[in-house]
Amino acid sequence: MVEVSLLSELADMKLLDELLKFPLELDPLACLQCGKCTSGCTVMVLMENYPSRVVERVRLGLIPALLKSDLIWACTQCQKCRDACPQKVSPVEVFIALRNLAVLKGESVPQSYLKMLSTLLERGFIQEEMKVLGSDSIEYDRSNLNLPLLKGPKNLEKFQMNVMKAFEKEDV
Amino acid sequence: MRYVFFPGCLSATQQYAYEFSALTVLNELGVEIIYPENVNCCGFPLRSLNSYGWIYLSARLMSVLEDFDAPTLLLCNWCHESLTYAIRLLSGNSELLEWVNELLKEEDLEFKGNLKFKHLIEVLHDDIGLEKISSHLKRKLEGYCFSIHPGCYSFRPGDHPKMDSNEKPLKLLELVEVLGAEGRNHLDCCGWAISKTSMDVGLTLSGNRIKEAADSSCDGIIISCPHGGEIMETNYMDSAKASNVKADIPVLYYPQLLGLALGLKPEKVALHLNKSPVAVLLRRLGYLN
Ligand code: SF4
Ligand code: SF4
Repeated sequence: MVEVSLLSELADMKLLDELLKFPLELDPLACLQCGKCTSGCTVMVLMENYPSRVVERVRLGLIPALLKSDLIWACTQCQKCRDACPQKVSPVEVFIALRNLAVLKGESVPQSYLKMLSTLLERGFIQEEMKVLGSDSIEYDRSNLNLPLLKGPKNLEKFQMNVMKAFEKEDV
Repeated sequence: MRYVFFPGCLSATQQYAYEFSALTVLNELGVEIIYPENVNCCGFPLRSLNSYGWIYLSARLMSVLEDFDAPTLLLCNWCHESLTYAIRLLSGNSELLEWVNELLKEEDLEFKGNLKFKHLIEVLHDDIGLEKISSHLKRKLEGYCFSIHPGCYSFRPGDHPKMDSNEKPLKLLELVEVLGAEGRNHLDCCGWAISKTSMDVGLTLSGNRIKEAADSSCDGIIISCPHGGEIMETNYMDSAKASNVKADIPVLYYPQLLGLALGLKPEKVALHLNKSPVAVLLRRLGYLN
């Protein structure tokens, strides 16, 4: 993971205000830098990502470089840091808020998420029905397994309009 | 007992073994199932893109499901957390609620906040109960030991109303033990979410779960979330390779294991769809030569 000059920047407190407006349970300003979140983080060692450091940067408004950094996508959402935090900071939700902000500011977003969103728009689910090869060398799907059809949104056009509106929303 | 059945995206489009085996065992236990229409993804996997987008999707799904006169049964830990969290946010924020209902009105829907929902594990453990399950068993799985993997969102975060205890999740463990087997709780993360952006890290985390089971001399891993299923079961080979596991550790959905204990043939619980080495277990149980 490359940390793009995370500290050689100016703070942007307006971005911090925007981040705090998302409807999420988080409180980066309450962080005491105890490090409990980081010591139990699932990906800390594998990805050299330290949730307490990310929270600290957010608290100081050092957000612009974070929005461009891979670090904000280096979290597996296991929620251990949320449970570990004595201050109800929810580092995991800080990661989610940073991702949301990066999307709204037009920063690059992992392709896998965009693919899920486009499939959702087409059918209401994030993935198309796949074929699964059985150990008997037969390809299975819902129909030859006799699984009932799972029917998506009735009025797909209106659903799509709502999805687009909702995913472009910045605040209420 | 009657439930509206919502499998969620992953089970409905890929993890068929989970949905199939769940339907089979529920039927065996006399549970009636209704398939809803006009449903959608709960939105949780997409909340990284926009929280409002996720909340709209969860609210939409609940508005459809709450119109039935039966509670909803979920297969997915993510759906469970998604709905739980969205309800908390919507009930504490009247502007958010108003906004979501304005959108839903376009689709002739309304989020009223009345949905009752349970995960399959809650239905089996709390509604049907261990005693009834025990009375249906055709064989006991004595002498087997399984790694129990209830999955992060079944007990984390602890400040949300979860399906199981945050300090000591026991439901999946007890559901395995009632079959006569021994269980060891393993509560680490399967790595599904990170695999969407860093596949190698996801596979390493998943492989570490398989390694943990092998290192504790378990005969297999029992799961109850399609996210763990996709990465630990469907991607078993790559996961095992990523963490350098040599042992054969079959990964089964809980209803698959339950089905075997109910005396059903392996194909009745879709064990022919598993990619992990389930043959090792089936041979020992006498189904294969
Ligand atoms: S949710 Fe993310 S930041 Fe928190 S412990 Fe898990 S991987 Fe680390
Ligand atoms: S556990 Fe909470 S208070 Fe401690 S460093 Fe992490 S976010 Fe800050």
